[in-house]
Amino acid sequence: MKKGQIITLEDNEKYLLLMDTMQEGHKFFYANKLTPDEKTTSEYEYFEETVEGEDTYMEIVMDEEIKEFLHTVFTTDLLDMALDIEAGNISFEDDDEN
Amino acid sequence: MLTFEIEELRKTLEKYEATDKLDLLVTKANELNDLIYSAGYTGVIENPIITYVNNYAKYCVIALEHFKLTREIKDLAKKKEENPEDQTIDGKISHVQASLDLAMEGLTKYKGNMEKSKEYINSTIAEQPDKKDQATVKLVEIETLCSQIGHEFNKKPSPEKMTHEELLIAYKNLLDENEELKLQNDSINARLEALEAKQKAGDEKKNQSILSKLKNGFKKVKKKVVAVKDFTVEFVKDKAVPYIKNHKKEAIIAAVALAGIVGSCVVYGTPLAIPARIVSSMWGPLHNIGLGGALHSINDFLIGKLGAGNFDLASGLWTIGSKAVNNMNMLEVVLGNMAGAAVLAGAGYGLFKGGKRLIKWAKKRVKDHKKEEPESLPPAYNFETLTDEELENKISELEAILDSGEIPSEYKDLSLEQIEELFNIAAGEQEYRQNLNNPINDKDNFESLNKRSCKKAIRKLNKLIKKWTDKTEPQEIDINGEYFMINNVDEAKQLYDEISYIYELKFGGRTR
Repeated sequence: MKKGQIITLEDNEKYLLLMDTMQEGHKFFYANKLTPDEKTTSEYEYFEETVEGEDTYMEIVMDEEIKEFLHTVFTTDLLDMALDIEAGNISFEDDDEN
Repeated sequence: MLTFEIEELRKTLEKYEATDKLDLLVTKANELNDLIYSAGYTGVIENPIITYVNNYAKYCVIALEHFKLTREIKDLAKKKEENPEDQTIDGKISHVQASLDLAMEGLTKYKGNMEKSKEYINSTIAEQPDKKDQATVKLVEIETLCSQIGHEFNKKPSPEKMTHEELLIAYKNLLDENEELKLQNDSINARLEALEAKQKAGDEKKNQSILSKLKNGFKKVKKKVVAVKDFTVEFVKDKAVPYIKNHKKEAIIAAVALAGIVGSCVVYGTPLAIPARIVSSMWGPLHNIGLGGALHSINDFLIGKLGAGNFDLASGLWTIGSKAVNNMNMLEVVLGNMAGAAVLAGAGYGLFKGGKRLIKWAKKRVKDHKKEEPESLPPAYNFETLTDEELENKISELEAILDSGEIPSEYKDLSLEQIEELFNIAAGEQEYRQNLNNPINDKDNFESLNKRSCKKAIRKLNKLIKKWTDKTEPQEIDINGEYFMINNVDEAKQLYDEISYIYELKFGGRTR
């Protein structure tokens, strides 16, 4: 999995993978829950990706301390992203303002 | 040409290189004097405008003396504290105190004289309807010039114009200030070091715990991925942006969260490098696309309501409840409470590529936020449904009530304060409609304010000045959609004077 993908889980819940990070060999995602017709919602989760054979699993992080830690990691990344946008290092292809 | 007893004030103003204002004051005073005499002035005081200006000049000179004496007595008190046995200091203190009392008496006397002469001028003006406007403008000009001269004394006098004695005092004051700053700096550094040490110890302990969990496992809920597809720019356009349109509050919160929160870190002086770096990069673009005002109000909203945080000036830390947090935690709290990072991504997209839309959202949102404030107001006043003409009539009606202070029967259930809120909401609606066609105004230029915006600003400032009692923190005020930080009551008064002056010059009539 990589950020920028929309995944569907076994219970038919859909998530947009927004950011990722590797920590001590674990791959984590910050994801926004989508409605069935893929509209964004105000819910989000932290996932750890695991691969078993040909199957990929997303494990929702339930531990509060780890969640807090991931929040710090992603927030820092977000701030860096904001700086990159401001510096012009990140641009959007579509320039439509309407 | 009349003569004025202003030489002492002129000498003082020379040090501040501000005698031009005094010359202008004399010219305007002469003009007003001619005007009120040609209008048939027969008051008890001869030449009331001379009395006014002369008393103001004396008032200024004594006010400066009073300031110097206050400084002197403070120095003496400090010396006495260091040398409690020194009896000579007591004598000096008594002497300075007596001079201070005398100066205070003088201030009261000259202020009273000014008020009295102004009453005579006003009564003459009121009796002459054909010259009323002209005379009112001149009186306002004179008052404004007096006020501006008063502000000159807040500046530092030109060293070349200072006497040897004054230079020595200025030098001594600088040394004192330097000493105080050094002490403050030492205290802040010590506190900062202690806090950093404490935070470091806490962080290390926490890091060990997280590391152990990452190695040994932690609580999770496993779900299989059954389908994957790529996210595209169209997704932002088709899904995230429509979401933002329907969730304007969250969108704006998201858009300004970064800059707003880190902005507050800088505004309130929290010493962290990252927020300072971010705000310096984000602040400009946000202001440029018209989100400056929204940024301030939403920043307050975020800190006050979402994060429920307070900034403790003593410790230099944010607190949520009784828990101290650093800036990064604060940002996390906010991000954790808002509508998810997809909104941030979408808002980022809108922020940098769709500025115009966000300007409208921001303005609308700020307006809506204001509408939500007066909870006690009856819901019948929905100005959005009125036509432009009906809205204009409604505003005029409310304005007339506020001017007269008399509440007609149809508004009998409302207080004057609630009527003022209604007026602000209606005027805000009108402003919003006008701004729809002109989203970016030159709001720094008060001269471009229309009559209603001027009056609205004057009312707000008047309210702020009246309520400014023990406020020690800067207060925020919006004027025609632009937000200003007012650091003290004098600044509020200065802004009030500036806008009143513009109002009176442009639209006539008194505002005070």
